[in-house]
Amino acid sequence: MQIDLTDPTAVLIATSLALEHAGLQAAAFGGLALAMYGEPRETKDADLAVAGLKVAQAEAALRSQGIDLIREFEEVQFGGLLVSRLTLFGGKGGSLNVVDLVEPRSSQYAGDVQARALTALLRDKAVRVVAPEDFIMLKLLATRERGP
Amino acid sequence: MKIDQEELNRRAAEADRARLALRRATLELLAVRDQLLEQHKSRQNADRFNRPDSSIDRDEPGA
Repeated sequence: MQIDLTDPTAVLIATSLALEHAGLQAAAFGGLALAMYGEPRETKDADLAVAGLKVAQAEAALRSQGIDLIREFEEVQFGGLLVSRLTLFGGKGGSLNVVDLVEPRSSQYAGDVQARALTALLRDKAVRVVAPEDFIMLKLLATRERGP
Repeated sequence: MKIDQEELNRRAAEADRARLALRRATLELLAVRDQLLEQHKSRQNADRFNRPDSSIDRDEPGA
């Protein structure tokens, strides 16, 4: 079934399930997680916090579920985070969307974020979401250099 | 660039569909707030209970 990529919930569910199916850890972050914590701002793209994930693995996982994509950039440093961007295309009505994979530069903290992630039931699908304290930490890390 | 009426209508319908999808998603995401906060609260309580230096242990007479 073709996904409507203008629908952020559909993108989040499809991406999360594809990664999970491939055994890759991910949890919703960014505007979608913020909306789940009660501060909606009508964000279209999906940000996912990841740990120990190679972008090629994520690409393969999404393609295996019939999602077409282009890698925009890989592991670009934003403060204490590494961000990789995938543009998903070929959705319903020619729609497209963007998924950012966000990984803390500290692999230990990246693992902790996944361990603390909570689970939300969206359209009857279980989707992992970063815990509120990690949401704040990740936002802080995005603007700060990692210490020695 | 000139756009004919048919193309304009198509684009307007597309924009409207995208706007509705976004609005629906925002409301759906907002609806899971209580689920997440309840889960977070339960986990915090469990962590507090399992902490070895919790006040329950310290208050035990003769402990």
